[in-house]
Amino acid sequence: MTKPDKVELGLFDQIQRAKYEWEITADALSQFVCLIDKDLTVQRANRAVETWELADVKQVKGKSLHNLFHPDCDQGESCYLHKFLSTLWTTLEKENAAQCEAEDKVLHRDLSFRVRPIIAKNTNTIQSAALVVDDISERKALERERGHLLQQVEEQAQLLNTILSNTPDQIYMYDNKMTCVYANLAAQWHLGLSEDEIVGKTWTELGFPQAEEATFNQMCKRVLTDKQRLKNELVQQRGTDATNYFEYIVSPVSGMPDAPSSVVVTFRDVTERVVAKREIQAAHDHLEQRVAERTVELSTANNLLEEEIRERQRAEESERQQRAVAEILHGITLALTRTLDLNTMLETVVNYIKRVVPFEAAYILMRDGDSDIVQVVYPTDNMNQDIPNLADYAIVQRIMATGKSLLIADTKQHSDPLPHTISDFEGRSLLAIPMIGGETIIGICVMEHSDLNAFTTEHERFAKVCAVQAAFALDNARLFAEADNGRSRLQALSRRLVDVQEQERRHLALELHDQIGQVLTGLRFTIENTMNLPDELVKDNMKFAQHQIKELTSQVRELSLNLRPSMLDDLGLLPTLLWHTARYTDGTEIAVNFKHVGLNDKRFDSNIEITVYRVVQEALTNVARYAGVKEVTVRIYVNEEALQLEISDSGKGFDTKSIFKEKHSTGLTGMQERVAVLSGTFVLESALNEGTHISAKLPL
Amino acid sequence: MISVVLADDHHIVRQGIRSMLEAQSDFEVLGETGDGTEAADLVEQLNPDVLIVDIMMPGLSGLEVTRLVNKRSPQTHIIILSMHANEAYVLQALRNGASAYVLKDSDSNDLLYAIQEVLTGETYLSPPLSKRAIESYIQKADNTALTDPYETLTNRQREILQLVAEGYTNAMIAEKLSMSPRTAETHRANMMNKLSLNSQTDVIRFAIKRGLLSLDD
Repeated sequence: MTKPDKVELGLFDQIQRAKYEWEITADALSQFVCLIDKDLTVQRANRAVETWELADVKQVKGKSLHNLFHPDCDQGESCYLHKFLSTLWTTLEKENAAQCEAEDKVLHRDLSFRVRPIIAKNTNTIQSAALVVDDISERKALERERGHLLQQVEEQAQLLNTILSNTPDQIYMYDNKMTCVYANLAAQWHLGLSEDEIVGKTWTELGFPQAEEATFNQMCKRVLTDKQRLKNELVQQRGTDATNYFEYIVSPVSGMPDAPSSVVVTFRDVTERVVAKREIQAAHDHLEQRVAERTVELSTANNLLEEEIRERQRAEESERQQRAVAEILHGITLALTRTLDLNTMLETVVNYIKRVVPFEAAYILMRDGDSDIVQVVYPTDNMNQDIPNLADYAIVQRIMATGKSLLIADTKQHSDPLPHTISDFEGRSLLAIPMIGGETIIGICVMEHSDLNAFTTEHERFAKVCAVQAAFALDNARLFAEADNGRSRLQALSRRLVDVQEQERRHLALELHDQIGQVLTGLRFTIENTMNLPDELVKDNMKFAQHQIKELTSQVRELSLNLRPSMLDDLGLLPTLLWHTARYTDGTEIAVNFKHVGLNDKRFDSNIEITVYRVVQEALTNVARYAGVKEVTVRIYVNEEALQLEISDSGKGFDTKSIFKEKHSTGLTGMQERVAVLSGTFVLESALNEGTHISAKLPL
Repeated sequence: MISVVLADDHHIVRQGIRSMLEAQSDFEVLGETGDGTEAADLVEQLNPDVLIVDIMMPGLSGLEVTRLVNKRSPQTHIIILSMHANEAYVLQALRNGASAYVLKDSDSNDLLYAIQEVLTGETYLSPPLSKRAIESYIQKADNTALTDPYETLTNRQREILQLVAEGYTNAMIAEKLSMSPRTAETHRANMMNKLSLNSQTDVIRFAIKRGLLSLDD
């Protein structure tokens, strides 16, 4: 603007002055201010046009506004300024103002355009307009920065929310009045309440145990003052049988410079951890227990081992004793083998037993052969022929029957009578030992002492062992005597055999002469007669001869069968016995009740078969001769080891003691001998009017 | 022609049979022997229609010859000629494979009849032998067999069984039954053996099972 040449203090001057003042004021503004015509050209602009480096203030008049800002705008109609200016006048008419803000790409700044119309008072029309352009680049940059920051905050909030919603831990926020102000999703689920229902409630109101509320509140207060986090545990019963374990941490809300007015409480469900810990504890306890048990077992095993060692020591001790006994036994055996004389042997036995058993008197009783008589055989000088049969004493019987030794500590307390009669000695204690040779009890060794309790079980044991050894030797001596006896019996048997053969021969000769000879003679006469007979009678005579021959055949057969039934060899025992008993019944009218077990189709050694047959034959013959009965029973029992045969009747019977001594044989001796030859046993039992029972057992 | 082999240890018997057979037009005696072992060989060698064999023969008995021939020469029919009119023999002969059993003292025509019968595949037995008699013999033999071991016990043994079951010792039994302890022992052993019992406990168990011992006593 140009300064007027002269200052007039009239209206003009005042106008000029005002104009000048406005110009100064306008120039002082940092904004670009200008007046524009209706054709959008600049009338006047302030000095900002120069500071904005758009144009010289003196040359600005008449310039197109658009052109001033964008000297070479190539954006055509899309340019914001173009758009704004093209509608400016209509907008001004309507609004009485127009404005726009835009980022000017040409000037590289953010601009704010504000336009006001200048209205002619007389026409009331818009003549021109005043335009103020502000550089708002700084403000815009701040606004963008803020928007960016807001977005970041939003993102952080979302992230936090996501984390809070997805963590399995329950997270609460309590304010300094101990009311809950926030609860995450896990907490909502745990409490079964919505966030709205949770907020504003206290610990107890949210269902936590009331007993814990004071502790919790105190913790919160301490956290608020100390700004240190605190940790605690909580047990919560869920229903009747489930127990949940929680660990919770109360922390100050961090990142706040001043004392926090709220706390964050994080609950973590540690049930699994607690349970696992308990299981580990249980496993550990179990292990401890096993170790304890094992220790006990080891200790037991150790005790057993010690016991075993002691046992072994005892065994060794016992073995030493046994060895001593064995030495004595060896002595006995040696001494006994030097003789077969019974008296010498008995003497030796008693002397050796004396070395281990402290007795004052001893005597030995023995069974007399196979009889039931028990006699004193030692000491010989004390033997008294008048003493009763010792077999009558109950204790002798018991020992003989059971083979068990007898130890009497005090004879006065003993009820059974003792065989003191043997000697004059009356002992106060007694030890009786059976002498077992092979399977039979051959005698008893009796020891006595005048003291009470003189004998111990140890003595009993030693004496027993000695007695066994002695019994073997004595049994040998007995067998030797028996063998001696056997030889003479064999001789007798041979003699008897010759006798029997002779007898049989006599019988055969008689039979041949009496029976067969007679028939043959008759036959000879018949045939001789034939020659003298007329032809018509020859046929009859021949028929008679035929009849005589048949008779002869049957007699010869009978004779042959009696000598030895060929059937026995051909068919065996069962058919032969059936045949024999049938024939026996036919001849004697005595019924034979014959039964057997195991004889069917069975063949035995021919010696056994003939022996069984002969014993049955002989016994049945005896029954027919002497018993006077109508029935006899025959039983045969066969198993793998033996054949047992029994023939019994309930007839007259006889005195068994006298029968063997009788001169005329009843065949009993024969039977007995046949059975003995096959190592069998033969028992004959009979008494007058009490029947006879024969039983034989043959080993197979 | 019917071919025959004769086996009998008596020459005179063989001669008698041969002359009787040769009197018939359709018989031919291929061979004869007096020894059992030889008889089986002869049959194997000559392969006759009929073997007539005696039971009592040296070497092998007629029953054994029958068994052998039946096995080795099954086409030969065997006729036993025997003096034993005994069902046990007949039964054994038939079991061993004989087709006929003819008694030596029966009518001579009996043998001829027997030959005719066996050639037609029949079994023949001389009278008075009969299949019924044999069956009754089998029955009788079977009846003697005892299946219950208790039945085999004698009265004495039953008495002793009772006493043993009641707890008597051998000595006590001997006293009670007036016998020697040894005899009592033998009876007891025999009784236990028959019943396959091993101990007194077994005896008591058996007695209870058989109702011989009442538990109330």
